[in-house]
Amino acid sequence: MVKKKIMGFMVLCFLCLLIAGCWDRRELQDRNFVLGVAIDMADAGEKPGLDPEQAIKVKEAETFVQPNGKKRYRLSLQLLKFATGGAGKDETSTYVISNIGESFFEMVRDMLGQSSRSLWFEHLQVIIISDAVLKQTGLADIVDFFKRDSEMRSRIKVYVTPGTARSLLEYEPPSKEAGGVYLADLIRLHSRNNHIAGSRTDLGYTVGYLDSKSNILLPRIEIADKVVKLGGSAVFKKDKFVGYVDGYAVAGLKFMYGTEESAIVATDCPDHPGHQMAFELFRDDTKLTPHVDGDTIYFTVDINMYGNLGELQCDTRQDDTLDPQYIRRLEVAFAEEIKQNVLYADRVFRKEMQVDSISRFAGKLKAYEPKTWAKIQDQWDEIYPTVPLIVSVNVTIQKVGSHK
Amino acid sequence: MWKILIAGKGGSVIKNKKCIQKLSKYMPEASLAIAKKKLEQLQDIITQSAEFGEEIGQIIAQLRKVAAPSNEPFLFTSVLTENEALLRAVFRDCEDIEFRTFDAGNRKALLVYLKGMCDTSNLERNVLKSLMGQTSPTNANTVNALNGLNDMKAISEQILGSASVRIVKKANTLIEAIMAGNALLLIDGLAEGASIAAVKHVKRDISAPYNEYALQGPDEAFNEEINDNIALIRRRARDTNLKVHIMRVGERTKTSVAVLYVANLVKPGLVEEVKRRIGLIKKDKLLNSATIDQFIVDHPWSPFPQTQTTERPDKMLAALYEGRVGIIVDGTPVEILVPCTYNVLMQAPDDYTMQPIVASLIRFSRNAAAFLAIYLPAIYVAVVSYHPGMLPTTMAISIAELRARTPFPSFLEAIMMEILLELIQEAIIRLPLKLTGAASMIGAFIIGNTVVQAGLINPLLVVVIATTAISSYSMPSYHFSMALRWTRVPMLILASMLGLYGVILGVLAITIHLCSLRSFGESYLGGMFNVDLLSDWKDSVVRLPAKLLKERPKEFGAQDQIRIGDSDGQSGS
Repeated sequence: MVKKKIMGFMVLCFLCLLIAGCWDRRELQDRNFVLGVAIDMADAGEKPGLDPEQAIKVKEAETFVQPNGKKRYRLSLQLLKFATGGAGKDETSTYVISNIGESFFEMVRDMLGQSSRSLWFEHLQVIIISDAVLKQTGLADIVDFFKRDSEMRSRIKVYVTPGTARSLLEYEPPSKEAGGVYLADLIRLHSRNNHIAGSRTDLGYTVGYLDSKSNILLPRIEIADKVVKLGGSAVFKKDKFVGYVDGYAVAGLKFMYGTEESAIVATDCPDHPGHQMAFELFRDDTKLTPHVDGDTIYFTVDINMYGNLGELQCDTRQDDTLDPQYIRRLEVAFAEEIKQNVLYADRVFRKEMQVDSISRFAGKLKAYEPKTWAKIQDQWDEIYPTVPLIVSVNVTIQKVGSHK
Repeated sequence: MWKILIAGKGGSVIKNKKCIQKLSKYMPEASLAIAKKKLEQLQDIITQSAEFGEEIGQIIAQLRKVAAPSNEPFLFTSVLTENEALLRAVFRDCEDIEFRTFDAGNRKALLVYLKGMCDTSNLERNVLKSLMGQTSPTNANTVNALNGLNDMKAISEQILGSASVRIVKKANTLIEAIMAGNALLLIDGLAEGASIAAVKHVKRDISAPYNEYALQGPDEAFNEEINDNIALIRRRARDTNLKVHIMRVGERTKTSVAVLYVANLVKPGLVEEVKRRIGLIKKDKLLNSATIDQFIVDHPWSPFPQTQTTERPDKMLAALYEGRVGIIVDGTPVEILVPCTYNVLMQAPDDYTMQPIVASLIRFSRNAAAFLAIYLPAIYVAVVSYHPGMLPTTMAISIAELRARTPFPSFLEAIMMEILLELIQEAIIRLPLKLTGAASMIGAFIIGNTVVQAGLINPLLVVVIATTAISSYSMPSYHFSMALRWTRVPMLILASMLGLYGVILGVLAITIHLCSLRSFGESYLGGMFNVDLLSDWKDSVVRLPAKLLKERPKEFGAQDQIRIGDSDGQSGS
């Protein structure tokens, strides 16, 4: 009898599995990989190669009835096209669908009308936002859907582009990688390219900065004809888009904050003007320190850099790189260049933009001088542009790579 | 009562039903359970009475003349012709039995033996010649001596030239001795017989192990003959503490089963328990050691082997010196070792001939293979069907592209592939040796190529299933690899229904089952995770150099823990 009861119980359990199991089973090939998302204004980012009449028709076909709001944005999704023709016959490629509306979630669901399989965001690589959108509204409004949805991942890259974002999704890299993967991987080596503000710019950090009301930097991406280039940075004050800074300012900022891991510093040779030389940074010891002297607040940044001499175009002019005196002169020249770079970045961010980038100065002040911070934190936005920065740079060349 | 109820309330069907349901209340003997029980009892009685009838028939046939104790077919008398008649009654229709009458001195003598099981030249030399020689006139003295000897003991001591002679009075024992291949000598005037050991029957030579090949190691393997097998063990250890206890199992076959152990090492109580469990076996015949295995294990329903089987005497001896018990079954070249745990199943003979550091890596990969063999297809199905977000993007894309060409859900694909694999394996085992090559080639082409090209199964799944199969082949124990093969099917079903959640449930269930499984009191897997037994890792997870394996595995509770040192081999010898 007991045996029968146990058997019955097991049968019940198995029936439960049969009935309730598999409820969220969806095979990999039944999902539509969304690899990239582009956000434009509604009147930009149409499908390329359409004449105006067709464009209007396409726009009407794509969209849906929206009782509230004004259909301000165009959301474009880059979807993966499976190479089903056998190994090596078809390369991986992508295509783009888009929709017009105001709520991103609603647009995504409406786009199921354009997709035979469910739209699946777990492998989303990149979100590209046109600056036209950011000039209209805050970054927080745009990324809210992406931070809230359970299929989004923190490591999604967020880029800002001055052109139309959709054209970046349409771009097919010659390497035949999937477009979204290519775009996301552009930033992977940001630690070796000091023109890109790459660290802590993905969706997770961006949302974190938004929550802590910090200022934000996002990498700037641009497409011209068939050239895609990542460089420079979009600067946000809280979530408001302020403008772009160039790669040189980004490099200076990275030196200032010590966030670079490797960098190339190029300048003229002190002995042979017109001939460039380059220093490859390997290790740095950077200290940004706030000082409070009565009512005056000022910052010092001490930068010690160690690295190799990577390039010396005047090498054939019989200068002895084994001569310590000569190397010392090179070190001073590099230090001067780095100092200029840092001061440039300081001028751009502090004077021109008046944005304490990623709120690093505020953070330092709060950490080192909490009492002062407590007094001034409400006026920090006004005080910051007046806070002087004193820069001292020391460069040590360890290896010269000389061979005779 | 029943009739009344039906008749009284027959108008309504529903009421009728109620009445029938309640019938057993009024009439307890009408209950189904009781009726079944009684039926079973009746069947028992019928079978018993049939047995009785058979026995009674035999007894009547044999014992018409002689009275005998209840457990004996007959009693020997001092009249040879009577004894012969009784024996002939017992061995009626056994045409391979030989009755040889001859004169020993002035008396008649009878030699009884099985033709194929006895060494006749031995009997001629040592029995017939010495006894019949007495009749020749030149040996008048010995003739007189023989005539003067009035009991079998004296004859065996003074005249018989055989190495082993046993004087037996009980008919049962004698009959058994004859069936085992001994010769029986009866002499007129003596109410006892001599069982003369002259066993010689067809058997296989000692050969190399068929299924447990070792790259460098002794190549002798057990064969079917129990005495040879014991000799193989004995030859490797000149140790009086190595004990052999022989039991008989099988009510009809009376097969010899030897229990081997090292007296001053084995965990107290273990040998007694093994003997007790073997003694409890009720079976008419015993044809192989697997039957013993199934009778003595604690959990016959578990897929995992709870006794270790081996063909290798060296392996058995190593186990005996770790305090374990060996069981050798007559007629089987595969012998049993208990207790058996996961650790010992992961040890292969080659581990001990390789460099320790190499062997350790192999041990490690073997453990990983055991894990893969159970869980890999399940993890694949779970990830592909439920959690593709866990894959790296480029891998997810390439899997999706492969999967896009195949129409079936991954679970069906995996099951199809498993069935195909099992079929091929089964075919290769069953086929004659010359056809296995062809079968495996067809299998390889079907799996590796055509199935993929036909778009039935995606290549990645082929890789997954092949990896799983190869992993399970790498197990030193065939039974354990079969268990792994069995386990991965329920795992696959769990994974296909509940995803990774199901896989984790399965991992929990299997781990709990393995830890609670006991083989003669030792936890199957628990020993590996027991902090007190951590020192056993020296010869389980890794394999240290022989010099450093100073202690026996604590797992088996050997009385003497020290393998290398003073105390070894001293006590009890």
